[in-house]
Amino acid sequence: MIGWATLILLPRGWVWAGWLPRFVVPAVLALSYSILVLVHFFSAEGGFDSIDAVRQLFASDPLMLAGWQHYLAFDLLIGCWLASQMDEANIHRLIQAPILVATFMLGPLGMVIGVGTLLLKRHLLTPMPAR
Amino acid sequence: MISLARPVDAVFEPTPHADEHWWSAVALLAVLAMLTTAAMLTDNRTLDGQSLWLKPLKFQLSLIIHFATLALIARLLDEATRTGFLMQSLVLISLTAGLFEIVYITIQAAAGAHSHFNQSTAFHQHMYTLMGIMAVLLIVVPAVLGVLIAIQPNIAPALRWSITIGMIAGFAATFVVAGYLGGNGSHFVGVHPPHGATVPLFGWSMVTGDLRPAHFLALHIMQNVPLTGWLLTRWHPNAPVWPVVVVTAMLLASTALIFAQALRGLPLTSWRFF
Repeated sequence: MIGWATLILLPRGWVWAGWLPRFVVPAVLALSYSILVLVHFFSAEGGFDSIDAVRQLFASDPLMLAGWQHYLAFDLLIGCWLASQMDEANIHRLIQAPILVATFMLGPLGMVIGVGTLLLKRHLLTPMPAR
Repeated sequence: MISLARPVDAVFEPTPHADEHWWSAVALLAVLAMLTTAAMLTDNRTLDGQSLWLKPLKFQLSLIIHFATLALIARLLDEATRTGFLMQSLVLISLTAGLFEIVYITIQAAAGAHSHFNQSTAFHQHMYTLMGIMAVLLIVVPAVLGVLIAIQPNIAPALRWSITIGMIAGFAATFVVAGYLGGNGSHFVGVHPPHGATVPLFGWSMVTGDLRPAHFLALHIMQNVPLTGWLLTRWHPNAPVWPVVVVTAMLLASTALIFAQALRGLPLTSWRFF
């Protein structure tokens, strides 16, 4: 939450604050994930070869927590990347906000919307000739 | 391309033209419209007999046209006005209002719930009130832009007055029709049966009175009248202004006619003039 709030709300000029979503929060999540996985993954039932196996794998609470941290960390990194790309494309923070919230809540959906918006803005709309 | 170590603000420069953000919004809305269309083709859930994705799609397309119109008109402003505080405010106000409407309408649709006229909980009531406020802001912004255009130098007369007249007439007509629609409790006048016939794509009733066609016509005066002025100016730079006035009067009259028709509970397909 702190990482996302920083990314969505704080001024980009605060370079130090930008380190929080880009490095600190993903690093903490990744470390915690790594430990959980090292301790629990290799002794757990299930696997990734079918929906049933995945369901069985995530019946383990520590692995469910690890899975949650996995997508929190990766969604935040994708959010940071989208934000920097959108800054470059001069997409207003007001328009970035719903895209980033969507990335936070429903990662890939936000990413599709963000990348699509970037592509359209860059290739169709930005090279508007002066009158 | 992907460099996470680069400070994100290193290449950020504020735009001199706030209206560029209207194009960003157009890009966002276009992506949403594509996703909504894809969802509509995959999802067979309905609301009031229509695909529940139809409403967000109509609003997304309408706002694309709305913001693109404003952005095109902004290019006629002189540099000082175009980069000024008033224009920045207008852009931010309309973006806030537009994004609010679209996000709420799309999420409500995805949840299979109403957005307009939803009085089911205190939250939805407040949201409906907010939607009304945001909708008024959405149509006030073009009216102010129309006034700005009126006092600009160096715009061909037919184009200039078509924008000013079109924006103000569009605002006034929409304010009356949508204001009534918002207070009506439903977009129907009379009862639209569950599987009653509707106009394809638009979803307007062909069985009973429907206030939405009048809203549609009123709102798009903001495009149709400036388009008239633009075509006239292309035909001749010093084209007279009177055809613009005639077209505006005709559009206002047809809006009034279709509005009156709906108020009497009559669908678009059965006309009664007296």
